[in-house]
Amino acid sequence: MLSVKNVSVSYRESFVLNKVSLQIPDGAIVSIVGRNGTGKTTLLKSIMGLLYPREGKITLNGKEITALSPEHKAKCGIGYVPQGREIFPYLTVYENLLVGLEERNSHILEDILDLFPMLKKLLPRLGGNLSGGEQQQLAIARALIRKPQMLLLDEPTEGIQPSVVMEIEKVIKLINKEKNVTVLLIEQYLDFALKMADYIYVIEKGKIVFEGLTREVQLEKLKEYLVV
Amino acid sequence: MEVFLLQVFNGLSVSSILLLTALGLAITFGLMNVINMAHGELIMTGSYVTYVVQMFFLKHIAGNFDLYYPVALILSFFVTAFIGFLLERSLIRFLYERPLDTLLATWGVGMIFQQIARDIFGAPNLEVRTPHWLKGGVEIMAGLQLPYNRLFIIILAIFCLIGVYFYMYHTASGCRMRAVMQNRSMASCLGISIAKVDAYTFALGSGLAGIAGCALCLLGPIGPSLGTYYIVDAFMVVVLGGVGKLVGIIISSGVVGGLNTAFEFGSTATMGKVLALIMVILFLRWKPSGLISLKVRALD
Repeated sequence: MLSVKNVSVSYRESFVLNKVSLQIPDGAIVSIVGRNGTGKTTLLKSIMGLLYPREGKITLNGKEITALSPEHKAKCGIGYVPQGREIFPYLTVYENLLVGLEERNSHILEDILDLFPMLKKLLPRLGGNLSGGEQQQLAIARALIRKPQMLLLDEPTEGIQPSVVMEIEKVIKLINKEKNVTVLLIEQYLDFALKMADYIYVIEKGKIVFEGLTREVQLEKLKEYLVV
Repeated sequence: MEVFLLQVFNGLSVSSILLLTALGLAITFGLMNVINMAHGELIMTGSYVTYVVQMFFLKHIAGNFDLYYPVALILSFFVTAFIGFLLERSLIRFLYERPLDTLLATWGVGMIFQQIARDIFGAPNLEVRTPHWLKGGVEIMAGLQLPYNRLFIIILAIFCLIGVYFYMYHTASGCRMRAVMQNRSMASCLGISIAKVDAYTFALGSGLAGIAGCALCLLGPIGPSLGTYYIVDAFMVVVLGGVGKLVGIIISSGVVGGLNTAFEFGSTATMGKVLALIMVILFLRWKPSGLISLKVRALD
């Protein structure tokens, strides 16, 4: 279980996150939705260790991880799929997949290629030459190959064609169910978030303004927060 | 005919020396973006390591004196790599966000190294004896003799190049190194220890400078300011080659070496250098990113 308690993050003087608290139980899919610039990505980055909160506490299974570096958080079992994918452009797809593994072995690779069969024929290509949809799938595969217990996804549907979105949806649900990977999903695309998540948080101006179980949520109320 | 062949050989020889001196810099400057002005002094360090090993053999194992050179070659790599490692941990790692400051800092380090060398070994140049098996040469035809030491440097340069290529593209740790150089924060999010990778990468670049220093002992006497003769050429080769790919510096050291010897023929050594430099400057005006520049679809 990952819990974020009263976390505030600021870029110099201006607060981007203001005492945000949330809980992500093991095995759940939790989604955070909100408009542009409300602090969604900042929240994810501070969970990953790319930004450090000014105050507050982040714990994973009871252990405090607030000040750990991304490298150590990755070693604690957190996988990260950033906005914009951040594929290594001059590494081949094969290298992109294996670079984060301490020990390379072929059946780990095969397991991942079973989840993303389209990557099979792309293995020798450079990561930077892939299309956006291919890169997104590669980014998810690259995080999953390390067998994380928790996956952080930052807008995986951004700029991706519908058929690939469906593909991604299928994979995330599959690994959640079969490998019990906890998922924290950040989305602007409400339909996708509703389809995926068990529990939903709405963030506005750096604060959680609404939360609830997805199946109990009233759509009208949710849309109020998100319509521009 | 002999003259032409000799010119070709000289071109190759100069190119191989350039390649060897620039290879380490292609890693520290080309990959890591550290404007490493101390590269010349790391080369110098390699030379002095060779000198020390030679003296040790002369004193203690004079019977096997010819074996000193392979030992010196290996030691010069590891000693210089270790110095590079300490340098990275104690100084360079604080400057990755400020590339211009690395220029000043490493220049200062270079001067300190020179002074240390002067204090320990004295200011005059020292002679390193070429081992027996590298004296003389093969006579290909009348009036055309290829010296063994030059041939050896060509082979050594090729060997180092293959070694670096193999390390970068065919080992897990080389792969991590390239990942860190391309996207540091993403690499750390995948559990890669970027601090370790930085230190090892800089150590590798430094170690290669050490090997170059050991090779330069075969060509003439060594002194505290040895590195300063090579640093400009090394930077020229790396900048001309373009950053990030080994092929670039192979071609550019070939081109610069070739131009140097071609222009030297019929004029003086200084004129040859000047003309080669002018050609390089003109080329860089036309193509500022060098011979080989990496291009892939830009990430959105």
